[in-house]
Amino acid sequence: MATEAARLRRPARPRPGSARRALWLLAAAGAVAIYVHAWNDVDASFTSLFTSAGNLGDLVRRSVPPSTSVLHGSITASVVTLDTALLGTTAALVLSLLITPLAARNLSPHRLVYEAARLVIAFTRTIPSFIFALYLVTVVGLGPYSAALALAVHSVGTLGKLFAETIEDMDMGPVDALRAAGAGRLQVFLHAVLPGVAPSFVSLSLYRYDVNVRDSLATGFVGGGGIGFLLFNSIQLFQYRQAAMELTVLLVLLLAVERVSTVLRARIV
Amino acid sequence: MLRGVDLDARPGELLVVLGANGSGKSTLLRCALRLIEPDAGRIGLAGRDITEAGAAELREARRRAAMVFQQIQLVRRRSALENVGFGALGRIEGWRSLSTRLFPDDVVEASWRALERVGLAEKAWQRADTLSGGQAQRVAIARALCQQAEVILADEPVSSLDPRAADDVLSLLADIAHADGLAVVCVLHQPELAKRYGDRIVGIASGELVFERTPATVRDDEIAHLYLGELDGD
Repeated sequence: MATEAARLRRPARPRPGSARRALWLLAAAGAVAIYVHAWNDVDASFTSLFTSAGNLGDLVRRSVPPSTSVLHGSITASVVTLDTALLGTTAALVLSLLITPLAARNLSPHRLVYEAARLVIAFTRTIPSFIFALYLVTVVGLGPYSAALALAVHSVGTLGKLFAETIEDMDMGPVDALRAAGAGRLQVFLHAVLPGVAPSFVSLSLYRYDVNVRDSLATGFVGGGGIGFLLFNSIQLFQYRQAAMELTVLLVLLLAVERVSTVLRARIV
Repeated sequence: MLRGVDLDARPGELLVVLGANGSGKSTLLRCALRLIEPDAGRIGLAGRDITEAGAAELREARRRAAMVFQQIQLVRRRSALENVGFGALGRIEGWRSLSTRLFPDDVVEASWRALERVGLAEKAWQRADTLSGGQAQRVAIARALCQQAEVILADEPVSSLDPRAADDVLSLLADIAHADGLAVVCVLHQPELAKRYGDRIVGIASGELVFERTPATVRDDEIAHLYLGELDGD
């Protein structure tokens, strides 16, 4: 039990100064101003949510029951979407493994090499895959091949960044040990770095595949084939019952991919 | 900072380096292999100046001195035998890393012999992350043997081990020095272990060599000076 004298000796909780309080108020007012600007910029309105409810009801009525005539085509196109994501992710995985040792600060042979590798990663990561697809359909033509290439290019950026950060956070002990034994760069990477980060790399790649299946919908919208292409056409032609079936197949597909990916990642890590 | 430290590790001898935290012991060993780059000064290893050595020359120099680390630095997801073989990577051609047979027959044989030498042949196929601390450190010593170096540099190899495992590891290092004729430099924190196993003891304080004696002639006040910064007896 603390005595009264001991209680009196306890230091008082520091109070923020008036300048600091003013700064907080200013920051809060700034944040509110940004949100008000954003609300006005997008013409947001709670009223229109309620007045548009009738349109939503109409859309639902025109979407049911889903058209079974496109079931087979939807499944076939979904398999194309899975294949597109698979090839795109695998190509990105290989390319990322090549660029990662150069883009990890603790392994990169030179500062300039590091900056160049990071630039490639930043460029490919910043531009969405459907933008790459828009360009690639003019290069290799319409269809899932251009979509797979677009996913691969964009995923090099996302996987490369995550792989490099994983390596930067890894335990450098085995790396030091092999360097001290006179091992070369390739030997150190293959025998000290990769065994340490492989579970994380596999997990990140599976997650990327999961994301790429979703992204391949957007590449399908711009001519990359697959279920995204069918869905885009159905909506454009106001064939909402067809679109409903395609969405249903898509939903089942995405849930299945996510489930398998989650189970595999949980087992690997 | 290290100043004018010149260690002469002799074949067949276990040289112990004593010193307080931050005195420069670990820096000394890491600098010796250029795992830490010095800001100034020169580094000589096995009779060769490696201060400005290029990548190939540095690899060659590193092959001649094996390092056993304070934190046991094995590749966790590889077997004990593979970890021992990694000690020979400096003399294995790089292309072999891309083939399915990384280790040539002579390295496999050397790995087995090294593992038998440290008494862990029965653990050969066990993954490194399933070994106890003492076993893992003995595998690290086997890796150093497989490297076929002239010098073993051990940086506080027993700091994370219980007393019995520490005794096992130090008696193994002493035996390697005496029976195999290697020069072993071992950084320690425990003066009693230094006196029991060392053939020669050097004390480092503030990056400088303050004494170099046989265990029988090291005075307690000299050791106290390393850790407390004062000489009581003089």
